[in-house]
Amino acid sequence: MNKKEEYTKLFESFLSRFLVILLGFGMIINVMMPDHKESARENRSLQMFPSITWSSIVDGSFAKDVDEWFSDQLIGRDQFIYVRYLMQKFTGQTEINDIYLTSKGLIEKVKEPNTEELERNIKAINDLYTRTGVTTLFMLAPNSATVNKDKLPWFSEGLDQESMITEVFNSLEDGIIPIDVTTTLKKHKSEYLYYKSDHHWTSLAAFYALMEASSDLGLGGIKEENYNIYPVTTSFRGTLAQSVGSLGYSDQINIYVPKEEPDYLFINEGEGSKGPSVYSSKALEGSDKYSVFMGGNTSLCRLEMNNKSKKHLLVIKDSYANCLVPMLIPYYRTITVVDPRYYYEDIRRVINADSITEILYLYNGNTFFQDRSLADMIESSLK
Amino acid sequence: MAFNSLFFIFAFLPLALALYRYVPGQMVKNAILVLMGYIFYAWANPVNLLLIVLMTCINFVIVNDWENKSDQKVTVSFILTLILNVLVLGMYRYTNQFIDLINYFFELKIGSVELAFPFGLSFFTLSSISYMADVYRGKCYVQENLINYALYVSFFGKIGSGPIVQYADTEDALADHPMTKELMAKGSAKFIRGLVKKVLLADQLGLFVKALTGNTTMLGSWLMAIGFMLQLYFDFSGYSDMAIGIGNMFGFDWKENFDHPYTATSIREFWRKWHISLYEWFKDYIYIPLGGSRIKASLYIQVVLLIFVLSGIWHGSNLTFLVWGVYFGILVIFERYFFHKILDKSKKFSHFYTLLLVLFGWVFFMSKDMNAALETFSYMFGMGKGIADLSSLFALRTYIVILLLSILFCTNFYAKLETLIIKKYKNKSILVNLLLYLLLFVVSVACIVGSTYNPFLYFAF
Repeated sequence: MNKKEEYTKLFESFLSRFLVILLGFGMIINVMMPDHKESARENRSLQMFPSITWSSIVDGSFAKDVDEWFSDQLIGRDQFIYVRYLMQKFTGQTEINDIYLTSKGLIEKVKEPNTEELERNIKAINDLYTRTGVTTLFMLAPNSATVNKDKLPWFSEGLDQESMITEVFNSLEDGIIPIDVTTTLKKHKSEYLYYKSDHHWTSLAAFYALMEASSDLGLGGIKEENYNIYPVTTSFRGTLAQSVGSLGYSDQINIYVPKEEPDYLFINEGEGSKGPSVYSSKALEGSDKYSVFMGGNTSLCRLEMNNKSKKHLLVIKDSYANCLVPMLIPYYRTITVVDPRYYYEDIRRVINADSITEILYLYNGNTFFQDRSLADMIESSLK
Repeated sequence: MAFNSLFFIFAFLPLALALYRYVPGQMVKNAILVLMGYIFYAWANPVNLLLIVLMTCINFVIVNDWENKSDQKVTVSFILTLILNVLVLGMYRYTNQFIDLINYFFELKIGSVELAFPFGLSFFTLSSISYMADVYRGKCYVQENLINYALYVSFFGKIGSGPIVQYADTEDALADHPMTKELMAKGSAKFIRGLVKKVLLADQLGLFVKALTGNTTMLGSWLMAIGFMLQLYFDFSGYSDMAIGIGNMFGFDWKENFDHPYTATSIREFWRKWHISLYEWFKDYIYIPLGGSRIKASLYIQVVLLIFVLSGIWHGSNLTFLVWGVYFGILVIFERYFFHKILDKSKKFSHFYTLLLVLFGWVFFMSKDMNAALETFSYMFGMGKGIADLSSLFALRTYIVILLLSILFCTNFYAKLETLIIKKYKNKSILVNLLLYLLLFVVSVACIVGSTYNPFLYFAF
């Protein structure tokens, strides 16, 4: 036997011992350890050991559930997912699950518009404006992939979201005021406008957008000095990091509290709660830290301010609005916030009941271009 | 169940190893392996197990009866049993094609039937035929022990995707295949190598191919075909390595099923290096019984074409598989009578020629129908949307490392690397290799876990 064979045999012999220990240990520990019902990291319930029935064995569902149970409950699952992410990163992959890995952090790809739904949504917005005559503004925020186009990996084929936004604005009724924040955000693109680990814009980006919108909203000059900026967490690990399986990114969330903030009541009708603050400190303890703003997404919530304003705002929105709405508190008597994805009631009744004087649509491109709920909500109220 | 599932790696395999190691007596050990094989087989679709058990019993009883029959009756019985086995396979694979033909010729409107193809039936059938033929030709004795026979056709290490171990090669081992340290060691390394090929290369290449599916540029279609060519090799050879490694762990020592096929310098050599157990099966049970290489040219051509047609329809029921078989049959014949002199002149040219023609062959193999195959060819030759687009360049950029690694590992680079490590580190190479394999095992498991990673993110949008 030559040296090579000798060493190979010795190595294989050690390897087999390690493998047997690994497999045996893996089997015992995975069977012995108690099962977990939920995964905080994946934000879903985990498969428990399935009950054995004759029909589940025959139709193969028992085996499928056992496979799922084993993989869901595997010891070190989160660490394995991170190792996989590192492997993908080190082999040069710059896109995982439609998310780009860039020097600006994780950036979500621009999503294809759902043309049919988009047309319906625009028509519904126009119809509601025509029927109610309420002053209407439309802010359509670009996503990071549009603002940070130059940071995307070479050859990444991005859709032109800027043109898509312009096209939407051009399709709106003449009276509806489009608020273009893309140019403003592009001017500040070197700043911290989007979270590195999440698909949302930061409070800073929302603030720049508000500055851009302030004259259209009739708010006068809005300045940074009007707000106290508080960092509430530095360990925000958002949806994009969760989706690619990275543990390395963490973000800071700042809240912009108006210096001259009136007393107000925050009524979350979706959750059935009310309180003196629009911020949810409880959310900072969980995995979805962006829910610090208004407690996350809910069907309808109201802010009732103790001030003398005569303006009553209705915000029809997605989650991008959650960090911007608190900045508006000093300027309105009431703000009603509706998320059409969870709201199924008559929106015209809300407009009348809350004496709405202005309607602000606030969406980010990726959500708006694929939205399937806005038209349903408006159309049902116009029947 | 698949070898690259977490349940198999961390539950089924260690349990089977422990049972096999600690239960007394070879017969009980074999019975355990048969039982485990049936659980493995029935995992996703238990109903199909009935077919496997039934066919095992039928074949076993019929062949056992040959001892009491005259040669003539044995021949008749052999032919009928052969037809029965082929019919069962054909029924699952070609019933709908047969119905289509009847509808076409007799202008009928018989509806198609839903018959899910039983996992591993192709391999099971070839193993069954191997047993019958080896006994019929007197190469082996009749297997009198049902458990041993059931183990031969249903061992979980090979029932799903081979290798197609010939009965004569494993007859002795069936009765006595102790778990030895040497085979365990060899099998462990082989299993990990197979897992790495399957999970770290083939599955990643699968994503590359998926990213290019539908791309009609020249670059995109070439990359997709090359990606598929590499994916298929690492997928199948990886799975075969895992199967051979598992066989080693349980005391079997089977031959290699792949031998760096993409280093071949002719199509004939390619087929001696690709899916070797299938090549050997066709050689031993069809080619040689029909006369082998000593027959005259016209008969040789017919035999070669027959083998490749059979190989094509064994792989699948689409017309593309038949065309794929005929394509390689014609190439083998042309090489024997015309090309061999040209190919002998330059190794580099012949290697390039082989890779190119094999690549074209895989285009038929990967396409869902002939139209799709012809479309891919048209894109490859510039009749699509230009030379390249951003998505093909992006896919290339994203997967370039995986592609280069795959190309390297198609050659005997790994063997050279191993020699280099041993030369450089001498006895420390044991530790270096050990760490490398364990690291690759962990990363492979991580990739399997990652493929089941499914965070619920809608709440945040």
